[in-house]
Parts: sequence; structure tokens; C-alpha cells
Amino acid sequence: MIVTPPCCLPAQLSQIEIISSVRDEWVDEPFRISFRSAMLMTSTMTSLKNRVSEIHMLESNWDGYDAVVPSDKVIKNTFRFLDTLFAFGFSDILDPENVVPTPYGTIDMDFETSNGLVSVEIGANQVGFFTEFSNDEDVLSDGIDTDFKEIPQPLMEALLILKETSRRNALSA
Amino acid sequence: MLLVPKSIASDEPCVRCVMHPYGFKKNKIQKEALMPPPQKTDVSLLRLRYTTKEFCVRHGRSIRNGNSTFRCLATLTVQDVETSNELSRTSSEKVFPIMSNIIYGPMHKGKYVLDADVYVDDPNVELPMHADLRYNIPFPHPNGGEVATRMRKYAHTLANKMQVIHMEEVDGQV
Repeated sequence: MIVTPPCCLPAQLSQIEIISSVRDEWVDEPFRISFRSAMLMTSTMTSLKNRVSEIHMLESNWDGYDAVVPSDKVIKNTFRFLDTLFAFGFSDILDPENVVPTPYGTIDMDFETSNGLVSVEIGANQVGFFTEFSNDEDVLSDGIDTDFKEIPQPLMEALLILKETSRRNALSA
Repeated sequence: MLLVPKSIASDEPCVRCVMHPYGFKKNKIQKEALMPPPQKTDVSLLRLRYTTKEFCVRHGRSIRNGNSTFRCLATLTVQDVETSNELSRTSSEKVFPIMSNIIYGPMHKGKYVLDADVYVDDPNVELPMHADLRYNIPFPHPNGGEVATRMRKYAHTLANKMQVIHMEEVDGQV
């Protein structure tokens, strides 16, 4: 299924790409790197939101085994949580393909790096998660009440471990 | 006529028909492929020793609907389930552990045929090779938007043990 992004986005992105190519020749390397990573995150964010829009368009029995569709509230929470993840710089370790509906109406987000997995579930009022780190020091949360405008502390710690250890491993390789 | 035994051998491959786009990704079966519908405990499987791969493929193709298409066949054994149960038991110190079992469940027109003996080529039973992966507690209510972390983790452990035995071409890719 193809989901068309909001009409203003392609125009904005092409302008950003033009600016990026001009800057490449004239600006310092650190600025260039941060500018490029910011552009990459914007593009990832668009893909992530398109993925959620795609899930929102599903009909009942979408898996052929009587699955239900996530409610509008769960969809709204997921969009809101994506914005929060973006603000904290975690959206770059979330592949849009890893945003998946569950058969019972919640949405899974699996953050994966070379250091392991943090599997997050977005519900109507709670976020739950479990980890699968390569060092076996795993954490599990049955559900934390949240408004999705912030990342609950235990989840924040798990995502930081996943991201930072993976970054350190990449630098030392 | 070959009788379908009521007990399932520990190494017997049981097939799940996995759907695209949410059941399979990057050569891995996703945990969602082993989750039952809301408030249910059962996930349908087909016992490969009492049917053929070709039948399973045809069955998988028959499940397709507007949102999903058949993607692959993947197998699970009682042994895989028991290993996952043990892991769940040891990691659930203060809570009720999530567990499952694979149980006998021939079906005809959507109903179980459990009273009489069932044979592989029984003309009166549509799915003599049908079995269920049955969880010990039902998955959440459809309207609650309730999270189910331990059930997801259990399904994840189980999905990682599955072996893909057939892939369909989807969007021009195998």
C-alpha cells in the first residue's frame, strides 16, 4: 500500500536538498555532518509517519486471522510519541518497517542496533517495553502510564544504552 | 488410511502461514505472526507430517485479503515451545509466566472435530492436520488498547525459533 505524504513535504524537502548541496562546498565539516544528519532524520521521520498512516488505513482482519485495527487514540499516541522520539534523537534507530500493528490493536516499535533490541508497545494510555541486549542485562516494563509527550525514565535509559553502546561499538570498529 | 495421532511429537514440524506485510521482515518471522486475535488464545498451525508443503502453500494463499498477502511458511515444534516455556518460567519470578502448548485440533468448516478419530485423507474433514498453538492466557481485549509486554516477549522468543520452509514472491521480491 502506498501512502502519499502531506502535499507540503516534497517541496520542502527538495529545497532542503538544494541548500545542502550548496553548503557542502562552503561550510566547515562539523556543520556539514550535523546538517546532513538533521536532513536524514527529517527524511526518516517522514517515512515513520507514513508508516503509521498506512497502519491507520488498515481494515479489520488485516492479517487474515481476525486482527483488529488500532484505535484513533492509539494512532494519535503513536504520532505524538514519534515526535517525542525525534526531539530526543532516537528516531534514527527506528526503521519504519519495524513499526507494526499487533492483532489486538496496539502498535509495536522495535528499535534495533548491533547492540540489541528495545521493543516498545504503544497502547491507549500506556507504553510497555522489553529489551534484548547483547550483554543479557535485560529490562521489561509491563506498562507505564504516559501522555506520550515524554519518554518514561526506564525506557529512556534503555534507548540510551542501545544507542550509545552501538555508537561506541561503531567508533571502536 | 493414515490416522492423525492426538499427541504431537516433540520434533514434529507445525507450519504457520505467515502474511505480508507485517509477519515477515529481513529474513525473520515477526512476533506478530504468532499472536492470536484479541481475547483469544489460539494460533492456527498445520502438522506437516500429515499434509504436504503444497497444501500448506495453497492454504496460505487462501487466507489473503485486501490488506495482506501470503508471504511464507515457517515451522515450529513442541520442543521450541517447551524451550520458550522454560525461559518464560525462569524469567518470571513474581508474576504468572506466559506459556503455550501445541495441541491437536482437526477442523471442518470452522469447527473442531475432536470426538472421532481423524484420518489424513478423510473426505469429511477439511483440515485433518490442523493444530493450535494455545497460550495459557488470552491476549488483550480489542477496544482496550492495553499493552501486553510479557506476551509480546514470549511471542518474540518463539518467532526467533521458527524455520522458514517456503517463500512467496511479493512485489517482485522473494
